[in-house]
Amino acid sequence: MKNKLNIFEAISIIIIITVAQIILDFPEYLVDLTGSGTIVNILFLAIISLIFCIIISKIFKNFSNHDIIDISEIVGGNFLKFIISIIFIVFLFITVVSAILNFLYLIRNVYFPNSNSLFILSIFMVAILFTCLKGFYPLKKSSSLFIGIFILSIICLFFGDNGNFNSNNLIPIFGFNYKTTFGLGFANIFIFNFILIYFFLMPLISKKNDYKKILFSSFGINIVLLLISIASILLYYPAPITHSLSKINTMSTILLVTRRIQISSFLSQTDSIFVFIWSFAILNYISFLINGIIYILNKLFKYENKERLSLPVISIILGCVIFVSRIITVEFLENIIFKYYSIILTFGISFIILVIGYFKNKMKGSKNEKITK
Amino acid sequence: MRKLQNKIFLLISFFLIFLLTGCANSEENLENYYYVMAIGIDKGENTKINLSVQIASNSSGSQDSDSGSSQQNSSNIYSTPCNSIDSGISILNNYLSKRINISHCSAIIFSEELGREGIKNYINALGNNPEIRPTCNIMISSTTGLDVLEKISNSTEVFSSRYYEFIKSSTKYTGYSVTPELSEFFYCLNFSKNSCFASYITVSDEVVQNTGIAVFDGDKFSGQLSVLDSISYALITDRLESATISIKSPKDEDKLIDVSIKQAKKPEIECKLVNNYPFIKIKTSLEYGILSSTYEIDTDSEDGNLLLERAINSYIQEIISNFLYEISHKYDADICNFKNEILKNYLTLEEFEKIHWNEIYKDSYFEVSVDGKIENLGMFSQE
Amino acid sequence: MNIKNVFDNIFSYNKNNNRKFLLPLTPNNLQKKEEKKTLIFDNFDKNFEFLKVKYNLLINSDINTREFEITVASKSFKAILIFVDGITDSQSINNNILAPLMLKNSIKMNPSKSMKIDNVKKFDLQEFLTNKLLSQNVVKVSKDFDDCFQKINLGFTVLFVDTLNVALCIETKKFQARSITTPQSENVVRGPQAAFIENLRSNTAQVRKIINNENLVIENTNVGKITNTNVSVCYMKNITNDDLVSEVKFRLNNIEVDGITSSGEIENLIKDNLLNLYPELIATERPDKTSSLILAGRVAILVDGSPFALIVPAFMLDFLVSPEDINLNNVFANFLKVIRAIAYFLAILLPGIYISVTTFHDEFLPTELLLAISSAREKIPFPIILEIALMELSFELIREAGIRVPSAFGQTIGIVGALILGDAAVSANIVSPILVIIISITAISEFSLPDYSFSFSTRIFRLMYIILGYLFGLFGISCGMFLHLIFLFSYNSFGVPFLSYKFFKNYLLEPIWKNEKRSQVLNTKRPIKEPKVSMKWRKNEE
Repeated sequence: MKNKLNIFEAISIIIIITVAQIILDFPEYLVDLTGSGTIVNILFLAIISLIFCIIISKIFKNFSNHDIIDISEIVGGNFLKFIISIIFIVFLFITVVSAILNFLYLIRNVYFPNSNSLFILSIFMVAILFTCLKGFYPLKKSSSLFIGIFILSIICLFFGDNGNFNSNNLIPIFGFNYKTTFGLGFANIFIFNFILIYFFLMPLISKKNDYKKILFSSFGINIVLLLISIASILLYYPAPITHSLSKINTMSTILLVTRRIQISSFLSQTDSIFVFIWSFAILNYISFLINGIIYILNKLFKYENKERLSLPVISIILGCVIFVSRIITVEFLENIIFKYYSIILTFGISFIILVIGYFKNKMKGSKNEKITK
Repeated sequence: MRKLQNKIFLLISFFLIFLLTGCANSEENLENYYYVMAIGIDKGENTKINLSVQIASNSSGSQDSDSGSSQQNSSNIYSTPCNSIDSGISILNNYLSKRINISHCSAIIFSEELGREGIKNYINALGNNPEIRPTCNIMISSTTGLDVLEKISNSTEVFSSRYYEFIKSSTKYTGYSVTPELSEFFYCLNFSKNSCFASYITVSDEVVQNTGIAVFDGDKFSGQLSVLDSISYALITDRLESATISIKSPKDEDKLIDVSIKQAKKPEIECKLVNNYPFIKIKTSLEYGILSSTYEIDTDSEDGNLLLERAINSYIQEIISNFLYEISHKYDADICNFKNEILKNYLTLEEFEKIHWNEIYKDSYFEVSVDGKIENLGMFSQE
Repeated sequence: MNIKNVFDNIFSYNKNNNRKFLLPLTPNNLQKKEEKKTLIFDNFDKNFEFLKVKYNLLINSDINTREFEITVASKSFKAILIFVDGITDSQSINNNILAPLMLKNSIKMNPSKSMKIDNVKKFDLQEFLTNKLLSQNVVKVSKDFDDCFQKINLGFTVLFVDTLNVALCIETKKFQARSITTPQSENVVRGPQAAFIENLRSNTAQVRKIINNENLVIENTNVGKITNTNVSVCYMKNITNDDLVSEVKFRLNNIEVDGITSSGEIENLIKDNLLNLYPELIATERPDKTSSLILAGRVAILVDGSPFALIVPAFMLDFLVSPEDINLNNVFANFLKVIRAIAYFLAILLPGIYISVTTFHDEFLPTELLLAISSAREKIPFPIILEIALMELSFELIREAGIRVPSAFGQTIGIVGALILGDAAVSANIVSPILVIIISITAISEFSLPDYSFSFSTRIFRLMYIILGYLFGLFGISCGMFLHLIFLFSYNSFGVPFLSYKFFKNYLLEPIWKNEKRSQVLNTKRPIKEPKVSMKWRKNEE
């Protein structure tokens, strides 16, 4: 019972995923693709994802104690369960490795230009290691404690730089042309990868009736946060520039936005406060993902003391991080592999399995009914 | 108990490894740096540029003296010939005892000579530097940057780091100049061909004046605009808090009246294409205050005041339209960013690109209307 | 699973399942065998011999014995009194025990009528002694020696009489305790000024005086195999959760140590998380605080010989609460609470943030401040980490010295340490004046925290944050804070989370008439403290 999530904790965990992805400069990828049309694009994609979410919530009514891995076992037995678990674990591994590297480079280039990146990595990994060894309970508590501050920091992005914003930068509202905004821009749907957690949420929450509430409220808050972060990027750059943002900014765009925020002339550069707050979010995010890996591994192998798994998992991740550790590879990992992997996983594999599971369950149910009749 | 000791030992040794192996950079502490207040970049004789930096001198020099307030405001200026900003900083690092840090730099001053050759390389080098603040100001000076820095450090009445802060805020209530920031300049330079501008500095006998706007053609300095232009610019872009101008009295041509201007409403700008040429309508609403008492106001009739109001309106209308035609026809510089205004008419960028704004802007037609009211008659004028 | 074994072999670590103080290490330990209770013999000489051996009467100076004879009904019985000098009242021994036993009997040589009737029946010496002769208020009968010894140690006088196989324990307690004084470490302006003292009974009496209710239970147990220290567990029978009470008693009864001399040892023996630097029990010397916490549904542990009560369970935010808060208007109290919370953060973070900002984040500072710090630091020969370590060390030394020196010189140490040393160090360019400011703000903040051991923990964390800030800047500090928080969230104090966001909600005080519920975390039997309308006088009677 201790590890079950109540409604507030569940929502805060889902929000932290989006907050962390905003911090990791994912909005830059969005804006890069669709330019000033990103807001329309995201609203358009949000409607599509919302339909997805409605279907998911409808189907999960029938699986009140199953997550997607259990459903895959129903659909295809142990073999499919194993395959699906591996797919999820690989996805989480890629996400964790790219997130660690991304954040590492972000802070290293700005604040520790003379330090060794391994050195900064060490404190990061030590913090994550102890967090994972302590299990899930303190993690969910800390994330729900900080969620207000995280949301506030994202909102501050928007309102903190009010004087420098030019509302004209938001136009043209449909971006470069309709084709990019609605056609090519469809790839932007990867930002809704937090939907993946809805496939796992059901057995984790304490009150099953809250599932729908959690789903829609977290979805709404996430959309609002995304739009705020995108708007603060768009308002900061003139319209033609937003189409090739990543070409001219070597630094993280979101960090550049924070650099402009001044609290009077006394504190003229406040980005380190943001990085200070955001480190919490990233630590929460990564520890949460690693807990996810451990959770899935535990589902596969039924390990007795699952906190022990965090040591090997984190050592493998550390190995990957040290092995990759090239900024170009990180860009590739994030911009290509993560993007399409998450689209396929969220809207493809998981969804298909869910739907098949639903029909299989229904057929079983009707058979049972026939038998009883 | 053993276990606990082991853990504590591990923890301590973990930190000690980092402390003692030199992974931690003990050189990074702030007393090991010289903080640059302003950078001057001039054309070099044999090399490409001549880089000069103004460094706030750290030595307070008042450790022994009784009065703690006698902190010396002195700042030192170092200069070196070099080929790029980064190499110049390394050369300076080579002969200065401390490292140079530009994270507190608040102004970058280019000489006019260098400006005419193009400054894109230097701006790009600075724009991608994580150290420098994106809010630091870009200036073009009539003489060399070195000269400006020297004059500033000799003559200023305030602590030199504050000086740049003050000139930034003073433009708000004088309107005599602009304070474009590095990031603004950087993005303009890279993506819209002709909307860059900087503030223009003139040096005349020991006094540094920040008056006017430097206009760029691409990355090349193409000309300077006057103070009145600068006020008009501030009026159009809604950056003016207040400004003071003198106009001729409508009754007596020889007398001058000082009028303070305030923006009453945000200016309304309307852009559209007429016959494939931009037609730009600007409507500003102002509030006037009469400052000098030389003008006698008729308290009996309304006409006298209206006369004055009309005179001011037409004067301002004249300077604004002069300014607009100057920047568009003479310099082809879209510093007021009318491009963004006309973008409002289009839903996608692709449609907008068909009109080839950069080519037609030169021939735009402006219609300026000024709607001003006298709100304040001054102290003595009522008598 | 094969993979599982591989992982296990590489990364397994032994889980420490042993209780720390459980195992006696050497074979010739004292508490090897459970001694059987020895019953009192009916032979006087045997008893006397036993006492001699047990109490080492020949060499033990403060154990007094008095041999005499009781003559009852013309029969004479050998008798002995045994008591501990110093904790007994010799006047009452003389007047109420020795006098009636020796004198009165010798006068009453002729037995009276009633005596005769008694004589006719079976003459009961024990009953005669207790009912007729001993004019002391408490007389208890004990049958075995262990019980006797405990009573003797508590200040009873024990009477052994020939032919009786019981001992009469007569209460003659008189401790040389110090009188009730004002609290030493928890001073308040408003509120009661009494503090606990070393005497357990007087402490329990103080609590009972405040909670004037029959539901207040004060249970006694003994801790320590040799010292047999009396420990009282106080709780409200109709409020406190039974599981909490039994857990406290379970832990207290399962402490296998030889001796307990103070409540601090008990605290360390029953706390949950050994690595937690924060105190997990509230130690207070104020009866009013103890009583109010007992009323809130917690359990207080009073230890004989220690003027501090231990209260379980404790939450982290309890240590930011001063006993004065409930005596003030809630607005004032909340103001003070906010100040204390800020002081806590300053105490642990300020030097760390200073060192990280000056080392890594110099762009964050306003230019003028930066130049001021920079010019102050310029002449200092040490790197900043050494400078800060030097200041911290000298500050700790001054503080330690201030406690040791006699109070008459306490002022001198303060002046020498703070003023002269600090000023000289600054003018000799050994430390920078800004750092002196930083360290003194930190020290002041630390002293403004109400709990002693809580403020002690801030020193350790401060050191950690200094190191983290020096190595990794604000990023390191935020990693440290995150880990700090994770550890805090993972701790439990007597089955209750040490930190939980419910506590943050309840940190600020509601006005007292709105304080309707007891803390839900404690799961009390009586969740409602007061009705919705606690100020009945405000409502008109209908």
